[in-house]
Amino acid sequence: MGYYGSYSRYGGLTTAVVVVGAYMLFNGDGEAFNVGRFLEETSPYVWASLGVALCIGLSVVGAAWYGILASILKAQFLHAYYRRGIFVTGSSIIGGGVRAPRIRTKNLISIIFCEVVAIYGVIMSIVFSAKLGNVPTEELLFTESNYYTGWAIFWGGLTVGACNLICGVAVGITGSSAALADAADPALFVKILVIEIFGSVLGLFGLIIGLLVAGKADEFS
Amino acid sequence: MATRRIPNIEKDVLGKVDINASSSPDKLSTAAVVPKSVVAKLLLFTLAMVVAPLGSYYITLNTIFKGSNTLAGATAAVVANVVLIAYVIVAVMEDNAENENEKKSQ
Repeated sequence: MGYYGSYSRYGGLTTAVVVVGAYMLFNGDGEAFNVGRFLEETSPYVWASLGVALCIGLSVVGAAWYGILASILKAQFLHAYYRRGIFVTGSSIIGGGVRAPRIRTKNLISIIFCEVVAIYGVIMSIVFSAKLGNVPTEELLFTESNYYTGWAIFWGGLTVGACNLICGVAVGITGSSAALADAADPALFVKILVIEIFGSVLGLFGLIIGLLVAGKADEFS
Repeated sequence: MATRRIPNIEKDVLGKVDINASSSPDKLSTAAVVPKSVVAKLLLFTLAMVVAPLGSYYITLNTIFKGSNTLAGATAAVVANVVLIAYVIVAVMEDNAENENEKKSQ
């Protein structure tokens, strides 16, 4: 039933778009589909705020989904969430804990790694939001400089957010492997920790590019 | 099935599970599984991870970098990594200390 439901939803949406679009196209209103006009008429504030939101939102999803929330929920929902493949780190810490029943500081390293990913998103959102500022009139808002700032923050935020999302996934999965490997053989832990550090560097790449993109954009003025 | 050993904790708010488990000694060695020092270190470093980068961003923004967001943001990222490295070092030192204790006891 679920498959039919989702397919019919997409099908209905596509049909509606095609019918409305074809009606407008064949009745002389085809110009309404103007991507350039849409981009020009959308306020730069929209793009900038969307960029800030995507930056912090995707970062936190990456960090929380695969890391931190797990350790809070681990005792209650271990089996349900472990089978779904989410909340990976925390459930693996407990899964390993059954085998080697000691949670030590080194078992929790992956949680700190996930926190770093979230903090990257917070830092970049603060840097981006420092570019936002009030512009008194509409004529002053739609200038070349403000267009650039809006789009730079949007795409910079998307870059940082996507990078941190993938980085959080990588760190979470590696961290869960580290917890399980440590439970099986403590000598393996340092080796997997090295891999985890490489994974966390991925988030730094996105942060550097985000800083460079935002560095060229002036404040709204 | 750790939850079955401590049935009265199951009904609690989720966030309280760790706190109760580590502070109640009669709950079947849960305190031994998650020592208080480990929880304390995790909370301390979590706090440092939030406060240190953001603090360094706002402190350096108008004093050292004269309003340059890019440099202040880079500083904050570096500080976040310093906190991370400090946690890794603490973890490795604790591990080494435990290994030495085990050798001595043997």
